[in-house]
Amino acid sequence: MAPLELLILKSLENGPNHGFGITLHIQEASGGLLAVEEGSLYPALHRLDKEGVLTAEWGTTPAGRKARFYKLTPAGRKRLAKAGEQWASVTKGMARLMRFA
Amino acid sequence: MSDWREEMESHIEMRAEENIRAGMTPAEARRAAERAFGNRGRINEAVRAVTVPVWLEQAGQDLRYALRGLRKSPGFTLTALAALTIGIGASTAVFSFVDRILFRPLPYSNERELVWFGMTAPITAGAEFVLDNDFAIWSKGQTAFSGMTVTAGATDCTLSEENPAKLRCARVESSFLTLFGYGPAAGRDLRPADMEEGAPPVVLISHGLWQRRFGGGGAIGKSLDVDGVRSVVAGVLPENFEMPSLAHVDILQPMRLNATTLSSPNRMLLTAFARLNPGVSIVEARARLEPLFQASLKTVPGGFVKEVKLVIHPLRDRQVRDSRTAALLLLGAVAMVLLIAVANVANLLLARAAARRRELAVRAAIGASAGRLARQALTESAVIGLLGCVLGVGLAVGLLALIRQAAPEGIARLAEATVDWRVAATAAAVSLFAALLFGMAPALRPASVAGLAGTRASAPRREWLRPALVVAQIAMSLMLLCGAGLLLRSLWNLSNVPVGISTTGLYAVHAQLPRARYGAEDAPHQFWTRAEAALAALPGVQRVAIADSLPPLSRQMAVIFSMLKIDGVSRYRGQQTGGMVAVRFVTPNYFSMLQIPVRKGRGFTEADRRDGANVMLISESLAARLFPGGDPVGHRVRTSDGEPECEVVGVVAGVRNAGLTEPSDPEAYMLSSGRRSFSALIEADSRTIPFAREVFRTLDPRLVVEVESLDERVGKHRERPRFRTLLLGGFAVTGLLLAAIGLYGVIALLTAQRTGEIGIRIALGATAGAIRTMVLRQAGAWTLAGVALGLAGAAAVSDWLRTLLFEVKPSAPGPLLAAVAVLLLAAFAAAWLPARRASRVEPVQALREL
Repeated sequence: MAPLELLILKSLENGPNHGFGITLHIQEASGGLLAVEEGSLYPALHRLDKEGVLTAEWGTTPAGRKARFYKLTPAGRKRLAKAGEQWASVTKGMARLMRFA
Repeated sequence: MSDWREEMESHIEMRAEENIRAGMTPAEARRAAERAFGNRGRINEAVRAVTVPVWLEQAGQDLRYALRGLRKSPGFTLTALAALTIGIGASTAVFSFVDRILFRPLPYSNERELVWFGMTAPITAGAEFVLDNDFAIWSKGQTAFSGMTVTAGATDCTLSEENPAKLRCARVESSFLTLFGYGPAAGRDLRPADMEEGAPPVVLISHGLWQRRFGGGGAIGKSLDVDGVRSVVAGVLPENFEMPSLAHVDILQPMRLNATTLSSPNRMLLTAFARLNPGVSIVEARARLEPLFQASLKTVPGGFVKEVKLVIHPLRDRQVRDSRTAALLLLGAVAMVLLIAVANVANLLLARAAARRRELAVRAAIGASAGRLARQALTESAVIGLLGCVLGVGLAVGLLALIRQAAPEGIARLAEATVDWRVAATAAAVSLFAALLFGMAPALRPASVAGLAGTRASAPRREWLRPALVVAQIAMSLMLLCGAGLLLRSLWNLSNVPVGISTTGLYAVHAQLPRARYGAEDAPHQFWTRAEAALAALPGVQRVAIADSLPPLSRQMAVIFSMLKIDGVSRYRGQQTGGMVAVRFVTPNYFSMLQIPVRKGRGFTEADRRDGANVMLISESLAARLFPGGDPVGHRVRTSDGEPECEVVGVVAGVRNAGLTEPSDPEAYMLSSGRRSFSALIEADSRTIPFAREVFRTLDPRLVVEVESLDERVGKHRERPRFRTLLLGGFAVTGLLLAAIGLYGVIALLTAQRTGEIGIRIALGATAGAIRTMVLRQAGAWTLAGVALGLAGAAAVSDWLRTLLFEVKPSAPGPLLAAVAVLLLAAFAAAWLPARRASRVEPVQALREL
């Protein structure tokens, strides 16, 4: 799983959010990963939606603005857990590699 | 998709609000938000790629692009569409009606078992017959068939009521319907008892007559006056009833076939049908019938035996015998038109692909994949193909209506022919396949960036496919032209065949007197004498004659040549029958009105008629056969035992009496004694005709009277050949046009591709004439190749036309030369335009384009 998709799923772990909210979350969490184009988040969002990992629904922000809210589906949570494990094992492996090097 | 736009907008606005909160002006904030969002177009595409399947998206693009491209080159589009429309339209229309003749299922149960059988002899002109007594014997003794039946054939009959109507009646044996698997739609079938002597007259009426006469209501048990006989309607025929002879009938009557008729000395000539026993082939059936046939031959008069044959045909083969060749000819012709059209479209697509190589190279250079380019080209072909199909089916509907209008009466089932969807689909599939196949050309020859390097003068590639297509088109269109030429020549011959009579200003009034009211020996004679006098008294009528038949037909009565007795003895020494002699009953005016010259002796006079003299006139051909080298005048001839011996008083010129195409029979004329079926021949102007009808109405209001000008009568014999010629001629012209367009298109394109080369030639001093010659020479080479191929093709298939031709050999040089000339002319015209354009190339401009 691509890092961007993992980030999206991770940012939705604590509850539904709209695209802009996810952008802010990722920018905060990862610094510069989304610095180039905020819009480049959306193809990934729509793909995940289509894969059934997310559902999307129109709603209103606390500020009263209309926005499309994304929410993890059970399948999404499962994928996130699996991806988290994989990621952990990859980083663990990398760390071990770095130590030997 | 609007969902996604809104989402995008909402994102940007939230970012802008954030920016405002961070201290930017609203305008600044918005701009920064847009910038942060990134390249909208690219993101848009990426999102759409997720939500809309790529192929569908691209198909939409291709379609739009194709439509735009087609609009931008109307010349190509219109030509290709026209070719496809004509090809599909013509072939669909013609096949739809030919199919009714050749391939439609017959409305009978297990049609493969049904046969049409009988004996043939030269004197019946190819018609199969069975004698009534033979039928009675054979149906008891035979083992080949599970059933056999007979009909006396359809004849005119009259529904004599207040508004007398002329109908067609057929007498049939009682098992007739059952043999073909029919049952009555209402009422009962005929029974053997109906055929007995003195049985009460019953009829079966057709579905159509039931609708017309009884409004589809209760008809069973009602009575109809058929030819003056009150007959009870016993049953109604099913709607899909069709005589196996394809003759139209309104009424079936039981045939009188019983002990009394069988023991009488008069024999009936019947048409016989049978159903083969399961597992019995035609060959085997023939073998099983052979003993019965041989036994029957023993009763045949001596001269006949060697000429009579037993024949059994599958019913379908026999039904289409007469129309088969014409139908196949038309089918072949439209197939060629379709092929020419397809070749044309193929050529146009190839040409278009070649012309667009630069454009495709540009698009390949900026990143279009080869597959994508090919798909786009295919979309364009498919659009043309589909449009052509729709227009083609429309044209087929129109053409079919036109064919129906132009067709002479009596082409079986033409009236009900409709556009056949299977055919339309096949034609459409063929052309669509061709369009797609040749639309592949750009894909097969992928555009390369090298194609953009226009400064390199590349030698034009050797083309073979396009010239080959052009040659094929020319060959096929020449074949069509040859066929049309031969038919035209044949029609010309037919129009100019001397009938031997003058037809101008002459009208025939025909009436059939029903036996029930005119059965008395003298009654017809009295009727016709009164009719003749009343007609002659009409103002505007110059002369009147009465005759039992009129050229170009006869055959009300014919006698066997070998049976003629001259001065009391039969002189014929041959082994066979000697063929038939037509006998015509006429009044003295007949010869002067029709301008049939008397060659020897004298004609009939009113004095002969008044005195009841037994006199005879014979045609020149009969005179030559009966009295070779001698003078017939004064000899006495008896045509058959029932007729009086007549003195030959003169010899008259021959007339056509077996139709326009068949050889005429020798003919003998006797003075009219007035028979039940007669025609009055009147010389009058057309305004008198209503009064002539009135004369007959006064004499007998229940008669059906038909009036026809003699010109019309003779003209009817040319209708079918004219119809065939019209259709084939139409296709030949269409084929020629398409081929000419094809030739023009290819020459024009190849010339356009050589513009640079031609510019150099002109710059180096080539004259306009030399350039023209160069282009024309190329076109000429292809045309001549096409002509050679076409003539070979025509020679291969023209033998097949033989039966449709009248006094023209399929190899007749005249029509073939004319066809070649027409083709060369069209080809020259097609090549001349591009040649002239090439000769006017501006060298400076052309060189700049290199």
